[in-house]
Amino acid sequence: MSDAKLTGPLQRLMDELKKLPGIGARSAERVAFHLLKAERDEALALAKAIMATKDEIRPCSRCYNLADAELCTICADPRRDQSQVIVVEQPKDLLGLEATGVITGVYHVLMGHIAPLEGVGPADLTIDALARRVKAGGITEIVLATNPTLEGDATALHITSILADTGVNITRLARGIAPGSHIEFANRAMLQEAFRGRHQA
Amino acid sequence: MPAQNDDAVVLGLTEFSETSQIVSLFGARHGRLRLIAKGARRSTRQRFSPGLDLLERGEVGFLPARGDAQLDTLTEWVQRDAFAGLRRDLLRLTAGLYAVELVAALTEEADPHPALFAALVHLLGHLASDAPAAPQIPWFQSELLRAIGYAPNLDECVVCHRPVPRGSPAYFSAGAGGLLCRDCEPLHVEKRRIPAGLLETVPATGDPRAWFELLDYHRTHTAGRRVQTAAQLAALLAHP
Ligand SMILES: [Zn+2]
Ligand SMILES: [Zn+2]
Repeated sequence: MSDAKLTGPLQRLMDELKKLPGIGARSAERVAFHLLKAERDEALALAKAIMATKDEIRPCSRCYNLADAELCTICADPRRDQSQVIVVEQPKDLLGLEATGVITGVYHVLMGHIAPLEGVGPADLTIDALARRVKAGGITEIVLATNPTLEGDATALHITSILADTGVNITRLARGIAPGSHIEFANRAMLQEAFRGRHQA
Repeated sequence: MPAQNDDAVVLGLTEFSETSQIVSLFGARHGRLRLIAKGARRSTRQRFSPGLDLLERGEVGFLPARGDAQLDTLTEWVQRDAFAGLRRDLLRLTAGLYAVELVAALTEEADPHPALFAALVHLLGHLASDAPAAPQIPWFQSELLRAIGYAPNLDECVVCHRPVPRGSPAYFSAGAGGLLCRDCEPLHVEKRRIPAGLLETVPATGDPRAWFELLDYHRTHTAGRRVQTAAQLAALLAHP
């Protein structure tokens, strides 16, 4: 496209599309013209989905996962084991773990990690709410599934210290060598972690 | 300029776009560096050997910016030491974050400080070991103050240059640059009392919390800049 400005609404649509991640000027133009040519219902379905997302999605009142009701679908599911809580940094991590199909417990979403250098402290996360859940009873295991980054580890250590006197069993996801990789290419830290986390064969 | 390399510690990581991040490093020969790491996040992260996380030490390769580019580009990262041991304890980890935050705040880009780099690597190695962590924190603070030219004078009264008798109350003024004797102390508004007995020790061997607070007070008043991790570290030193 040249610098010539298009008619108002279409230009506005392209400007909005360009703000989306991974969408440059060319893609914005393609999508905008696609929507212009599409059936009215088809194009408005996208608009309605965006509106519903912004209006109806809110944090689950128990675990802070994305929800469209008081409780998210996982917390509301009677088949889930409410005594095991998997603690993750963000809803995307929850989706990744859910996709494995091995988790029967429920979650707690922290909404980030402790990042002291960026001014994000424990009070900016949902750690207090997690402590209240544990103190309310019924939870026997907390699985810390924060990222194995330094800030994820800092967050896990902080939660461990907060929950230390509640008597709840606190575990951490295993770490080490990724399946499909080779020991000869693994770095020292990965091998140390893998050795420490070895289990009965 | 051709490609450069250095021995470096990761001071900070900032998300820049979906796939790239800004990496702040402290290099032994280059001082503080700010590099853009394209494709450093998510699955493409392996390009820089596994890792590239805060407080790691590694061999960095980078291309100086050309033309309009504002930032030098990270081209290689080979991890040398992740100091994994400091991740098992909140005090050790917070002390490491405090150290890199100080280095990031108090040094300039492209201003090398080889002695400070050596002190930082020594501190991180110590924090990752089984040795007690707390005494190393004030040791690093005094090394840092010396490296940036703000070392306080703890040998004599900075006003009258007489020795401060051991056992008598001693005061410290950051603005005056060190100790104040009992006679000179009333002339200074900005000052704090030094805990009894502290001056009979040195930062690496004395009461870690008292030395930490004195040296952090001095740094705050002289070099300025609020340090996010200072309050948390003080709390951890108070209740280990
Ligand atoms: Zn929920
Ligand atoms: Zn004096």
